[in-house]
Amino acid sequence: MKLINENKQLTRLAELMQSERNDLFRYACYRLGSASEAEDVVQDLYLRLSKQSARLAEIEDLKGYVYRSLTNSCTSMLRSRRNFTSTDTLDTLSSEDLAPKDFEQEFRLIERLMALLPDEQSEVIRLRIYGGRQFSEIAAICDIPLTTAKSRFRYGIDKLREALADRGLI
Amino acid sequence: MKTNNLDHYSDNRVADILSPRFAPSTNLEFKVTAPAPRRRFIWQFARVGGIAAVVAIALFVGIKGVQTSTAREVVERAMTQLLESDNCLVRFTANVTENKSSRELYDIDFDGTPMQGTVEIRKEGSKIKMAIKWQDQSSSMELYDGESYRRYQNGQLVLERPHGGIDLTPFSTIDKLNEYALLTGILLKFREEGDMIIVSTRGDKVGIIARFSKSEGRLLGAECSGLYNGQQVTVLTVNQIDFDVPLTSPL
Repeated sequence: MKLINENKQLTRLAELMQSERNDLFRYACYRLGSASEAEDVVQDLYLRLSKQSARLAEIEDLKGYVYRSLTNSCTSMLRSRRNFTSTDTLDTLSSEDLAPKDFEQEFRLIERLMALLPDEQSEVIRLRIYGGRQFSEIAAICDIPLTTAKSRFRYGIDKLREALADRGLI
Repeated sequence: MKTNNLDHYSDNRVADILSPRFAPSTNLEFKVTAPAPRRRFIWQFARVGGIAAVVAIALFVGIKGVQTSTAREVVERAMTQLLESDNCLVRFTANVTENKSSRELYDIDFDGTPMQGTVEIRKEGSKIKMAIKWQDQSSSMELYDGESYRRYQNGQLVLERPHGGIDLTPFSTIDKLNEYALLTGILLKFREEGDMIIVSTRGDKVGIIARFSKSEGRLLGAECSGLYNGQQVTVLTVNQIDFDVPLTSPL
Protein backbone atom coordinates (compact mmCIF):
# COMPACT_ATOMS: atom_id res chain seq x y z
CA MET A 1 0.00 0.00 0.00
CA LYS A 2 2.83 2.32 0.87
CA LEU A 3 4.56 1.56 -2.41
CA ILE A 4 1.40 2.44 -4.31
CA ASN A 5 1.24 5.72 -2.45
CA GLU A 6 4.89 6.43 -3.23
CA ASN A 7 4.36 5.75 -6.93
CA LYS A 8 1.29 7.94 -6.94
CA GLN A 9 3.25 10.71 -5.31
CA LEU A 10 6.02 10.40 -7.90
CA THR A 11 3.44 10.70 -10.67
CA ARG A 12 1.85 13.64 -8.85
CA LEU A 13 5.26 15.24 -8.47
CA ALA A 14 6.04 14.94 -12.18
CA GLU A 15 2.61 16.30 -13.11
CA LEU A 16 2.90 19.12 -10.61
CA MET A 17 6.39 20.09 -11.79
CA GLN A 18 5.20 20.01 -15.39
CA SER A 19 2.12 22.16 -14.76
CA GLU A 20 4.00 24.58 -12.48
CA ARG A 21 7.26 24.66 -14.41
CA ASN A 22 6.80 28.16 -15.79
CA ASP A 23 6.02 29.64 -12.37
CA LEU A 24 8.81 27.70 -10.69
CA PHE A 25 11.26 28.71 -13.37
CA ARG A 26 10.19 32.37 -13.36
CA TYR A 27 10.47 32.56 -9.58
CA ALA A 28 13.97 31.06 -9.71
CA CYS A 29 14.96 33.39 -12.58
CA TYR A 30 14.01 36.50 -10.65
CA ARG A 31 15.65 35.16 -7.51
CA LEU A 32 18.94 34.15 -9.14
CA GLY A 33 19.11 36.48 -12.13
CA SER A 34 20.12 33.69 -14.49
CA ALA A 35 17.97 31.49 -16.70
CA SER A 36 20.51 28.67 -16.84
CA GLU A 37 20.96 28.63 -13.07
CA ALA A 38 17.19 28.74 -12.66
CA GLU A 39 16.85 25.67 -14.89
CA ASP A 40 19.59 23.90 -12.93
CA VAL A 41 17.88 24.63 -9.63
CA VAL A 42 14.44 23.52 -10.81
CA GLN A 43 15.79 20.39 -12.45
CA ASP A 44 17.95 19.58 -9.45
CA LEU A 45 14.93 20.04 -7.22
CA TYR A 46 12.89 17.56 -9.24
CA LEU A 47 15.65 14.95 -9.18
CA ARG A 48 16.15 15.42 -5.47
CA LEU A 49 12.47 15.18 -4.63
CA SER A 50 11.88 12.22 -6.91
CA LYS A 51 14.51 10.29 -4.96
CA GLN A 52 12.57 10.90 -1.75
CA SER A 53 9.45 8.99 -2.72
CA ALA A 54 8.92 7.62 0.79
CA ARG A 55 9.01 11.10 2.24
CA LEU A 56 6.81 12.52 -0.51
CA ALA A 57 4.11 9.99 0.34
CA GLU A 58 3.76 11.60 3.75
CA ILE A 59 3.33 15.12 2.40
CA GLU A 60 -0.20 16.38 1.96
CA ASP A 61 0.53 19.79 0.43
CA LEU A 62 2.94 18.74 -2.27
CA LYS A 63 2.75 22.03 -4.14
CA GLY A 64 3.61 24.00 -1.01
CA TYR A 65 6.46 21.60 -0.30
CA VAL A 66 7.86 22.02 -3.81
CA TYR A 67 7.79 25.81 -3.62
CA ARG A 68 9.26 25.81 -0.12
CA SER A 69 12.06 23.53 -1.32
CA LEU A 70 12.64 25.82 -4.29
CA THR A 71 12.93 28.95 -2.15
CA ASN A 72 15.41 27.11 0.09
CA SER A 73 17.43 25.90 -2.91
CA CYS A 74 17.61 29.43 -4.33
CA THR A 75 18.68 30.83 -0.96
CA SER A 76 21.40 28.18 -0.67
CA MET A 77 22.66 28.94 -4.15
CA LEU A 78 22.79 32.67 -3.45
CA ARG A 79 24.71 32.02 -0.24
CA SER A 80 27.21 29.84 -2.08
CA ARG A 81 28.04 32.69 -4.45
CA ARG A 82 31.08 34.00 -2.70
CA ASN A 83 31.24 37.26 -4.62
CA PHE A 84 27.55 38.00 -4.62
CA THR A 85 27.22 41.50 -3.23
CA SER A 86 24.98 44.12 -4.71
CA THR A 87 26.55 47.56 -4.51
CA ASP A 88 23.70 49.36 -6.27
CA THR A 89 21.43 51.37 -4.03
CA LEU A 90 18.23 53.21 -4.72
CA ASP A 91 20.01 56.57 -4.39
CA THR A 92 21.48 56.22 -7.85
CA LEU A 93 18.24 54.98 -9.41
CA SER A 94 16.99 57.10 -12.31
CA SER A 95 13.63 57.15 -14.07
CA GLU A 96 15.41 55.50 -16.99
CA ASP A 97 16.24 52.54 -14.76
CA LEU A 98 12.53 52.07 -14.16
CA ALA A 99 12.07 51.13 -17.81
CA PRO A 100 14.49 48.20 -18.26
CA LYS A 101 15.18 47.00 -21.76
CA ASP A 102 16.13 43.42 -21.06
CA PHE A 103 16.02 40.75 -18.37
CA GLU A 104 19.39 41.69 -16.94
CA GLN A 105 18.39 45.33 -16.39
CA GLU A 106 15.02 44.26 -15.06
CA PHE A 107 16.61 41.82 -12.60
CA ARG A 108 19.02 44.51 -11.37
CA LEU A 109 16.15 46.93 -10.82
CA ILE A 110 14.10 44.38 -8.90
CA GLU A 111 17.11 43.39 -6.79
CA ARG A 112 17.68 47.04 -5.85
CA LEU A 113 14.07 47.42 -4.84
CA MET A 114 13.91 44.15 -2.93
CA ALA A 115 17.09 45.09 -1.05
CA LEU A 116 15.07 47.83 0.65
CA LEU A 117 12.78 45.29 2.28
CA PRO A 118 13.17 42.80 5.10
CA ASP A 119 13.62 39.26 3.75
CA GLU A 120 10.19 38.11 4.90
CA GLN A 121 8.46 40.90 2.94
CA SER A 122 10.55 40.51 -0.22
CA GLU A 123 9.96 36.75 -0.17
CA VAL A 124 6.19 37.18 -0.09
CA ILE A 125 6.37 39.72 -2.93
CA ARG A 126 8.56 37.40 -5.00
CA LEU A 127 6.26 34.43 -4.49
CA ARG A 128 3.22 36.55 -5.35
CA ILE A 129 4.57 38.35 -8.41
CA TYR A 130 7.16 35.97 -9.88
CA GLY A 131 5.93 32.67 -8.50
CA GLY A 132 2.30 33.56 -9.29
CA ARG A 133 1.10 32.21 -5.91
CA GLN A 134 -2.15 33.04 -4.17
CA PHE A 135 -1.85 34.50 -0.67
CA SER A 136 -3.27 31.29 0.80
CA GLU A 137 -0.51 29.34 -0.95
CA ILE A 138 2.14 31.80 0.19
CA ALA A 139 0.89 31.42 3.75
CA ALA A 140 1.35 27.65 3.46
CA ILE A 141 4.77 27.91 1.79
CA CYS A 142 6.11 30.37 4.39
CA ASP A 143 4.23 28.68 7.24
CA ILE A 144 2.54 31.90 8.34
CA PRO A 145 -1.12 32.90 8.81
CA LEU A 146 -2.97 34.17 5.75
CA THR A 147 -3.35 37.65 7.25
CA THR A 148 0.40 37.83 7.84
CA ALA A 149 1.11 36.90 4.23
CA LYS A 150 -1.22 39.67 3.05
CA SER A 151 0.15 42.26 5.46
CA ARG A 152 3.77 41.47 4.57
CA PHE A 153 2.91 42.04 0.93
CA ARG A 154 1.06 45.25 1.78
CA TYR A 155 3.87 46.61 3.98
CA GLY A 156 6.44 45.75 1.33
CA ILE A 157 4.56 47.54 -1.43
CA ASP A 158 3.97 50.54 0.87
CA LYS A 159 7.64 50.76 1.64
CA LEU A 160 8.61 50.60 -2.03
CA ARG A 161 6.00 53.22 -2.91
CA GLU A 162 7.32 55.57 -0.26
CA ALA A 163 10.92 55.02 -1.27
CA LEU A 164 10.19 55.69 -4.92
CA ALA A 165 7.95 58.67 -4.14
CA ASP A 166 10.60 60.21 -1.85
CA ARG A 167 13.00 60.17 -4.78
CA GLY A 168 10.41 61.62 -7.12
CA LEU A 169 10.40 58.52 -9.26
CA ILE A 170 6.64 57.89 -9.14
CA MET B 1 -9.81 60.75 -0.40
CA LYS B 2 -7.43 62.33 -2.79
CA THR B 3 -4.52 60.78 -0.92
CA ASN B 4 -6.15 57.36 -1.21
CA ASN B 5 -6.53 57.75 -4.94
CA LEU B 6 -2.93 58.85 -5.19
CA ASP B 7 -1.88 55.87 -3.10
CA HIS B 8 -3.87 53.57 -5.32
CA TYR B 9 -2.25 55.05 -8.41
CA SER B 10 1.19 54.77 -6.81
CA ASP B 11 0.54 51.19 -5.76
CA ASN B 12 -0.37 50.33 -9.31
CA ARG B 13 2.78 52.03 -10.47
CA VAL B 14 4.86 50.00 -7.99
CA ALA B 15 3.13 46.82 -9.11
CA ASP B 16 3.80 47.81 -12.70
CA ILE B 17 7.49 48.38 -11.98
CA LEU B 18 7.77 44.99 -10.30
CA SER B 19 5.88 43.10 -13.02
CA PRO B 20 8.08 40.73 -14.99
CA ARG B 21 8.33 41.84 -18.60
CA PHE B 22 11.41 40.02 -19.77
CA ALA B 23 11.00 36.69 -18.03
CA PRO B 24 13.02 34.06 -19.92
CA SER B 25 11.14 30.96 -21.04
CA THR B 26 12.07 27.36 -20.40
CA ASN B 27 11.73 24.07 -22.20
CA LEU B 28 12.12 22.00 -19.07
CA GLU B 29 10.01 18.85 -19.18
CA PHE B 30 9.06 16.66 -16.25
CA LYS B 31 7.89 13.12 -16.82
CA VAL B 32 7.66 10.02 -14.76
CA THR B 33 10.53 7.74 -15.72
CA ALA B 34 9.82 5.96 -18.98
CA PRO B 35 10.51 2.27 -19.62
CA ALA B 36 14.04 1.56 -20.77
CA PRO B 37 14.42 1.83 -24.55
CA ARG B 38 15.18 -1.35 -26.43
CA ARG B 39 18.19 0.14 -28.14
CA ARG B 40 20.70 1.19 -25.59
CA PHE B 41 21.98 4.71 -25.54
CA ILE B 42 25.62 5.52 -25.30
CA TRP B 43 25.40 6.14 -21.57
CA GLN B 44 23.89 2.81 -20.91
CA PHE B 45 25.98 0.32 -22.71
CA ALA B 46 25.81 -2.24 -20.02
CA ARG B 47 28.46 -2.51 -17.39
CA VAL B 48 30.98 -0.34 -19.12
CA GLY B 49 28.65 2.58 -18.44
CA GLY B 50 31.48 4.44 -16.76
CA ILE B 51 33.39 4.55 -20.00
CA ALA B 52 30.32 5.65 -21.88
CA ALA B 53 29.57 8.46 -19.49
CA VAL B 54 33.09 9.83 -19.45
CA VAL B 55 33.49 9.44 -23.18
CA ALA B 56 30.12 11.03 -23.83
CA ILE B 57 30.95 14.05 -21.73
CA ALA B 58 34.34 14.25 -23.31
CA LEU B 59 32.89 13.97 -26.79
CA PHE B 60 30.26 16.57 -26.21
CA VAL B 61 32.54 19.17 -24.81
CA GLY B 62 36.00 18.29 -25.97
CA ILE B 63 36.21 20.04 -29.27
CA LYS B 64 38.81 22.33 -30.66
CA GLY B 65 38.48 25.96 -31.59
CA VAL B 66 35.40 26.86 -29.61
CA GLN B 67 35.46 30.37 -28.20
CA THR B 68 32.21 31.08 -26.49
CA SER B 69 30.73 32.54 -23.36
CA THR B 70 28.89 29.82 -21.50
CA ALA B 71 29.54 26.19 -20.69
CA ARG B 72 26.17 25.20 -22.08
CA GLU B 73 26.96 26.85 -25.40
CA VAL B 74 30.22 24.91 -25.52
CA VAL B 75 28.31 21.69 -24.96
CA GLU B 76 25.68 22.58 -27.53
CA ARG B 77 28.28 23.34 -30.17
CA ALA B 78 30.31 20.31 -29.22
CA MET B 79 27.32 18.07 -29.78
CA THR B 80 26.76 19.60 -33.16
CA GLN B 81 30.43 19.08 -33.91
CA LEU B 82 30.16 15.46 -32.87
CA LEU B 83 27.15 14.87 -35.09
CA GLU B 84 28.79 16.64 -38.00
CA SER B 85 32.19 15.01 -37.74
CA ASP B 86 32.75 11.80 -39.66
CA ASN B 87 34.66 10.07 -36.91
CA CYS B 88 36.39 10.53 -33.61
CA LEU B 89 38.89 8.64 -31.54
CA VAL B 90 39.12 8.63 -27.75
CA ARG B 91 42.05 7.14 -25.86
CA PHE B 92 41.41 6.04 -22.30
CA THR B 93 42.78 4.00 -19.43
CA ALA B 94 40.45 2.02 -17.18
CA ASN B 95 40.66 -0.33 -14.21
CA VAL B 96 38.86 -3.43 -15.46
CA THR B 97 37.90 -6.94 -14.47
CA GLU B 98 36.38 -9.59 -16.71
CA ASN B 99 32.62 -9.33 -17.07
CA LYS B 100 31.21 -12.51 -15.56
CA SER B 101 27.90 -12.41 -17.40
CA SER B 102 29.71 -11.98 -20.75
CA ARG B 103 27.25 -9.30 -21.78
CA GLU B 104 30.26 -7.11 -22.37
CA LEU B 105 33.90 -7.96 -22.13
CA TYR B 106 34.99 -5.93 -19.12
CA ASP B 107 33.57 -4.22 -16.07
CA ILE B 108 34.95 -1.05 -14.61
CA ASP B 109 36.09 -2.08 -11.17
CA PHE B 110 37.85 -0.41 -8.27
CA ASP B 111 39.86 -3.60 -7.85
CA GLY B 112 40.53 -3.94 -11.55
CA THR B 113 43.76 -3.94 -13.52
CA PRO B 114 44.59 -0.80 -15.52
CA MET B 115 44.12 -1.35 -19.23
CA GLN B 116 44.39 1.04 -22.13
CA GLY B 117 41.83 1.23 -24.85
CA THR B 118 40.29 3.38 -27.52
CA VAL B 119 36.74 4.27 -28.44
CA GLU B 120 36.12 4.92 -32.11
CA ILE B 121 32.92 6.46 -33.33
CA ARG B 122 32.35 6.51 -37.03
CA LYS B 123 29.47 7.64 -39.22
CA GLU B 124 28.55 5.55 -42.19
CA GLY B 125 25.61 7.10 -43.98
CA SER B 126 22.79 7.31 -41.51
CA LYS B 127 24.39 4.72 -39.24
CA ILE B 128 26.72 5.38 -36.36
CA LYS B 129 29.16 2.70 -35.35
CA MET B 130 31.07 2.63 -32.14
CA ALA B 131 33.94 0.32 -31.32
CA ILE B 132 35.85 -0.17 -28.10
CA LYS B 133 39.26 -1.62 -28.76
CA TRP B 134 41.05 -3.10 -25.77
CA GLN B 135 44.81 -3.41 -25.61
CA ASP B 136 44.60 -6.88 -24.10
CA GLN B 137 46.39 -10.02 -25.20
CA SER B 138 43.71 -11.03 -27.65
CA SER B 139 43.23 -7.51 -29.07
CA SER B 140 39.53 -7.53 -28.29
CA MET B 141 37.08 -5.27 -30.02
CA GLU B 142 33.46 -4.58 -29.09
CA LEU B 143 31.42 -3.17 -31.93
CA TYR B 144 28.08 -1.41 -31.65
CA ASP B 145 26.82 -0.80 -35.15
CA GLY B 146 23.50 0.84 -34.35
CA GLU B 147 21.57 -2.43 -34.53
CA SER B 148 23.66 -5.14 -32.90
CA TYR B 149 26.60 -5.85 -30.64
CA ARG B 150 29.54 -7.88 -31.90
CA ARG B 151 32.73 -8.97 -30.22
CA TYR B 152 35.94 -9.77 -32.03
CA GLN B 153 39.16 -11.31 -30.78
CA ASN B 154 42.25 -11.30 -32.97
CA GLY B 155 40.03 -10.15 -35.81
CA GLN B 156 37.65 -13.12 -35.49
CA LEU B 157 33.97 -12.68 -34.64
CA VAL B 158 33.33 -14.53 -31.36
CA LEU B 159 29.94 -13.17 -30.26
CA GLU B 160 26.98 -11.49 -31.92
CA ARG B 161 23.90 -10.19 -30.16
CA PRO B 162 20.99 -8.27 -31.66
CA HIS B 163 19.58 -5.05 -30.23
CA GLY B 164 22.91 -3.92 -28.86
CA GLY B 165 23.37 -0.82 -30.91
CA ILE B 166 23.86 2.79 -29.92
CA ASP B 167 21.89 5.89 -30.60
CA LEU B 168 23.38 9.33 -30.30
CA THR B 169 20.09 11.12 -31.00
CA PRO B 170 19.43 11.92 -27.33
CA PHE B 171 22.57 14.03 -27.32
CA SER B 172 21.95 15.99 -30.48
CA THR B 173 20.84 19.09 -28.56
CA ILE B 174 21.21 20.30 -25.02
CA ASP B 175 17.43 20.06 -24.57
CA LYS B 176 17.42 16.42 -25.64
CA LEU B 177 20.37 15.70 -23.38
CA ASN B 178 18.63 17.39 -20.46
CA GLU B 179 15.44 15.46 -21.17
CA TYR B 180 17.34 12.21 -21.38
CA ALA B 181 19.34 13.00 -18.26
CA LEU B 182 16.12 13.73 -16.43
CA LEU B 183 14.55 10.45 -17.50
CA THR B 184 17.56 8.48 -16.40
CA GLY B 185 18.27 10.46 -13.25
CA ILE B 186 21.56 11.87 -14.51
CA LEU B 187 22.23 15.43 -13.52
CA LEU B 188 24.89 17.28 -15.46
CA LYS B 189 26.40 20.24 -13.71
CA PHE B 190 28.32 22.97 -15.45
CA ARG B 191 30.72 25.11 -13.52
CA GLU B 192 33.26 27.69 -14.58
CA GLU B 193 36.46 28.30 -12.68
CA GLY B 194 38.57 30.92 -14.41
CA ASP B 195 39.40 29.54 -17.80
CA MET B 196 38.15 26.09 -16.93
CA ILE B 197 34.74 24.63 -17.64
CA ILE B 198 33.99 21.71 -15.39
CA VAL B 199 31.22 19.32 -16.32
CA SER B 200 30.31 16.83 -13.66
CA THR B 201 27.76 14.18 -12.88
CA ARG B 202 27.47 11.91 -9.89
CA GLY B 203 25.81 8.53 -9.62
CA ASP B 204 25.34 6.36 -6.57
CA LYS B 205 28.85 4.97 -6.63
CA VAL B 206 30.98 7.06 -8.94
CA GLY B 207 31.32 10.62 -10.09
CA ILE B 208 32.56 11.85 -13.42
CA ILE B 209 34.41 15.08 -13.94
CA ALA B 210 35.60 16.53 -17.23
CA ARG B 211 37.72 19.66 -17.39
CA PHE B 212 38.02 21.89 -20.43
CA SER B 213 39.92 25.00 -21.31
CA LYS B 214 37.49 27.67 -22.38
CA SER B 215 40.05 29.81 -24.19
CA GLU B 216 41.64 26.88 -26.01
CA GLY B 217 38.33 25.10 -26.52
CA ARG B 218 39.81 21.72 -25.74
CA LEU B 219 39.52 18.90 -23.29
CA LEU B 220 42.10 19.05 -20.53
CA GLY B 221 41.14 15.77 -18.92
CA ALA B 222 38.28 13.62 -17.72
CA GLU B 223 38.03 11.01 -15.06
CA CYS B 224 35.64 8.72 -13.31
CA SER B 225 36.25 8.10 -9.63
CA GLY B 226 34.57 7.00 -6.47
CA LEU B 227 35.09 6.14 -2.83
CA TYR B 228 36.48 2.67 -2.25
CA ASN B 229 37.67 1.45 1.15
CA GLY B 230 37.59 5.03 2.34
CA GLN B 231 39.85 6.22 -0.47
CA GLN B 232 39.03 8.21 -3.60
CA VAL B 233 39.97 5.88 -6.45
CA THR B 234 40.10 6.85 -10.12
CA VAL B 235 38.79 4.02 -12.27
CA LEU B 236 38.78 5.60 -15.68
CA THR B 237 40.72 8.40 -17.33
CA VAL B 238 40.16 9.89 -20.75
CA ASN B 239 43.61 10.74 -22.03
CA GLN B 240 42.93 12.22 -25.46
CA ILE B 241 40.18 12.86 -27.98
CA ASP B 242 40.58 13.60 -31.68
CA PHE B 243 38.03 14.37 -34.35
CA ASP B 244 38.17 13.49 -38.02
CA VAL B 245 41.45 11.58 -37.75
CA PRO B 246 42.28 8.53 -39.86
CA LEU B 247 41.16 5.51 -37.85
CA THR B 248 43.59 2.65 -37.42
CA SER B 249 41.52 -0.19 -38.80
CA PRO B 250 38.15 -0.72 -40.46
CA LEU B 251 35.17 -1.35 -38.20
